Amino acid sequence: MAEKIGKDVGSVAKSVEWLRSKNLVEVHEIIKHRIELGEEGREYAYSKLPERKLVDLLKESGGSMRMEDVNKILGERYFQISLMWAKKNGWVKIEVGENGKHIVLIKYPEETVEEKLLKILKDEGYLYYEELSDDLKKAVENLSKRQSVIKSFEVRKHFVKLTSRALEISEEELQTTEVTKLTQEMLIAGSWRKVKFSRFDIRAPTRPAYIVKRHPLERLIKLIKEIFVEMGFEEIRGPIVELAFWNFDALFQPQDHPARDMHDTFYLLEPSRGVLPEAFVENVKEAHETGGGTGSLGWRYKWSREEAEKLILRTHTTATTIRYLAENPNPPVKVFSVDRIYRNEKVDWKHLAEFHQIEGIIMDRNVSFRDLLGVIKEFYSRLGLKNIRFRPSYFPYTEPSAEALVYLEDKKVWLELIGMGIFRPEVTRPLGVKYPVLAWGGGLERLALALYNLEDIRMFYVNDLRWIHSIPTIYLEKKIGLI
Amino acid sequence: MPILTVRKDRFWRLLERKLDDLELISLLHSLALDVEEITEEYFRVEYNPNRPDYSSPVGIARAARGLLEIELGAPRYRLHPPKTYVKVDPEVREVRPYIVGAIIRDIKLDQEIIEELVSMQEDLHWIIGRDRKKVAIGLHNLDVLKPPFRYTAVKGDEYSFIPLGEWRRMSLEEILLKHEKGIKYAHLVKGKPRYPLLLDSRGEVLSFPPIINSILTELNPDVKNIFIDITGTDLNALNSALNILTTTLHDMGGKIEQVKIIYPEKMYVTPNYKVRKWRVRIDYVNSLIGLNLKKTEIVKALKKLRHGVKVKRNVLYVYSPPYRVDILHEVDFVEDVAMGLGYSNLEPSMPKVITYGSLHRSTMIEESLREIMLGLGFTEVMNFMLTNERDEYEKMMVKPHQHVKLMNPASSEYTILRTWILPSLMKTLSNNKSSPYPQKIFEIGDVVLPDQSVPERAVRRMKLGCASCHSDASYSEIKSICEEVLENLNIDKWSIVEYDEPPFLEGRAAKIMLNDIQIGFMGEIHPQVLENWEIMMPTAALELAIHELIEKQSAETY
Repeated sequence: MAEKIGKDVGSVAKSVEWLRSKNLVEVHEIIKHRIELGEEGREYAYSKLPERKLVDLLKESGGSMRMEDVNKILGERYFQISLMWAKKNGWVKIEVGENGKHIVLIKYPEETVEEKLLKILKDEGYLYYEELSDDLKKAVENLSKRQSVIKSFEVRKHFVKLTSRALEISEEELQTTEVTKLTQEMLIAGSWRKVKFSRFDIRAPTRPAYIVKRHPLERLIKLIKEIFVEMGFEEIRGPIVELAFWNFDALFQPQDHPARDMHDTFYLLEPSRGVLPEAFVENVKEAHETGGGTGSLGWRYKWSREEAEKLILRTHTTATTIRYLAENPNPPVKVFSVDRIYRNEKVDWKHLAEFHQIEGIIMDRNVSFRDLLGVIKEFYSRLGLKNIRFRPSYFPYTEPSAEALVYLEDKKVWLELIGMGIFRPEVTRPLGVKYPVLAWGGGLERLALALYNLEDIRMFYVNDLRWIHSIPTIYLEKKIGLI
Repeated sequence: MPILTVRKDRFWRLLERKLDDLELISLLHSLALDVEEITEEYFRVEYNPNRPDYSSPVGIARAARGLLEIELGAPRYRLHPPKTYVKVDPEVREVRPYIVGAIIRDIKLDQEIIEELVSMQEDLHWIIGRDRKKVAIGLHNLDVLKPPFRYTAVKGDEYSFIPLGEWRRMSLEEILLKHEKGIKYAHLVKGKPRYPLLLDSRGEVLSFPPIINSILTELNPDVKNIFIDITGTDLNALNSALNILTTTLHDMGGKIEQVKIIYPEKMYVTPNYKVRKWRVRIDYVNSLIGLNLKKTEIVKALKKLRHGVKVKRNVLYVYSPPYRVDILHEVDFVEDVAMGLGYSNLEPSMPKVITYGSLHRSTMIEESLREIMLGLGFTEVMNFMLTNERDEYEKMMVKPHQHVKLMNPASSEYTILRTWILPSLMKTLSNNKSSPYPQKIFEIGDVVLPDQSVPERAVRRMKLGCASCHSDASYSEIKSICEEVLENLNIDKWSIVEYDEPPFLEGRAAKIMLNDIQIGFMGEIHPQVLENWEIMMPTAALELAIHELIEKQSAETY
């Protein structure tokens, strides 16, 4: 069929399959075994079977020959095999004489059916087992027992026959071409009107499409920034390499505070020292030593400039907010940042040395601790965390201080997420800030772990592309109830 | 943060009340304690370092009794006048100048109380003492000693005694070399000409502060009278520790007797519970919390926090107990009022001021870049800015750039801050060897560069990096991408010049120039670099300096 139509067998097969699904043709399958000469079979077919060689030799030599001589003449390869088959056929026997063993011809055989089969195969190239006479079938069976004399293949033949429906089908229906693909040419020529488009198997598997994505952590950052902006906060950024002064001293952390220890904070070897903002140095020093004009007792120790000049990787974004306040001491101030911070920690599944802090501050004439609770409640409820609880806590630079816990509905646990408070007067007064500053901060990755249902915090920075791809684009929005 | 284990039956006795677990947890949270564990027999809490008075069950119970209104106001402590003294020799000035002391009489000890005292002492060493540097505490069996005492400084071989944890006499020098505590704390006295030593009137050694006590004075359940010595470098801290210890021992049933401390030039008596009178304004409390509390409500709240209060018109005079060493400012009473009311009773409110929000310019730039790169079919990745020289330079086959170097990294993985983005992208590709290809990734992130012109001596700069990794990755692909990115950033008049340097393959890389300033580079990554990262796939990459391209027009440097 393929030859007649002028197409390859594959496309004919497809068409037939399609016609069959339309009940227009029937397909019959016949399995046959095709017999061909094997490697040795070919050799025998062009010369003789080994046992024929032996009996011919014996006949020429008068019916008997010394075994050693036969071996020499036939060669090692044919000797054994010819003797075996000739004996088996009852053509020869072995007798012991004076000068060793002899092979003796019993009867010289006529052409065997096996030899006949080999001859036909030599001429025809192949035969179908199913079409052979019984004796030739027997010969095939016999020769199959010998190594690589003949080969046999299973061959499936398909016969296609029109069904009764095909015979009844109308001329018109038959003449409408069914096509699989709408082409540009069809549209230009308008020929799409004359064709019929084949129905597709709409459930057949298709190749996966691949969408590229934002990083999952970046998605959360974007959402959080949007919430801040919705709530009227302005975004600020600040240096990663920071003066100890802004990171600690301006926040009233005494210079021997354990958080300033080498075990917690990355100090820099190069560059190691920065330049202090002189406008604030004296006030901050006094706040530490005696309280200065802040009404505080201070920490009552000798404050060191050198300690404050040290450069570090900021341990919190509060270093940036306090800088901002120093430059913008007049109310109202409502700013936020979501940015990177650093802790000198061994990295494991719970800890990172570099991560993100979410931070917001509000400074105004009449803002209060209750306002801080309210803002945080609103902020986290916009992240889908509507159940929130506050309890007392401690930070060196806030008073009153609190921490907020949010309830994770799916995990049924309270998660400590946010530290907060009002900046102490020892922090604000030295910078010339006269009004209360509400401040809060929390880890981004901890929140992300909860929202993405992960255990290992390192996951966010391994960038496993399969993982990034696996997170549905609207996952977060759905998770927090925005969509 | 310090952790304390408290047996429940002990706590109920101190509290004179029993609570169920829910009540207990709620109480502990209201005291600013974090509950770590709670079982049938005991609970474990983490307390904040501003409240070293929470270092014993007694301290926690004292505060809890206030909140539960079992006992309001400041506890009363009677100090018995000194009967003996510590004479301070001038030699100690060089090594450990201050000492304070107290005697506790008629105390009933048992093993549990001794353990509480030891654990308390350890916590105070950490919180107030900064691991004994500022403050070191010794508790001694007074009954085996003969006061008065002498605080002196001696040469390392002058004295010997049997230290705790040993069975033989050791000289001070020997203790520093061989004793476990000696080795641990030797750095606090090493290099000084003389070492501190505390002796009684017979010359018996009490302790070698801040290292170790003598075995002679070790506490046991039969001890009735205790002598406390606290030595150190900061007199305030010494008094804080002494106040906390003595009030706790008082609440355990002991009588506090003062000790005179006699210096060559001065004399004082410790402990000294002379409490500061704090002025607390009612309107200050109200405005900061955001309430309209009546005077009596504030007084009640303060008394629940165990403060003593006297009222005069609209001003409260507050006397906080001697163990409240965290009070620095009037504002500290505002928090205590809030705690007295209970944080859960504070109704959240909203600020009245109206403000308008906005994103930082850099965030908006990042957002545009993200849109461009996602549009080009690249997936976003995020890497640390912390890195090391091997990843940053060696694997990339480039010479080190100027960079910020860390002094004390806990891990060799992080020793510097990155100065370019491509190594981060290589790392990501290396992490993704088993992910399907093609892999097209981008990162918008900061690098940090040393810069003498700013006070912090370093600036952060935004970069865009992208890499395309697949069997047909090539220079022409990355060049097309670069052109499209720059066109969408509305930048024309840029040009390229040959760049035959690693990490790129020679003849297949370019520097990208804008007005004679290099703003980036791109090319096919050198096979050796790919091999260094174990990436077995051709890769082409691009890095653009966003700061130089657009950010710079802003006045801000970060």
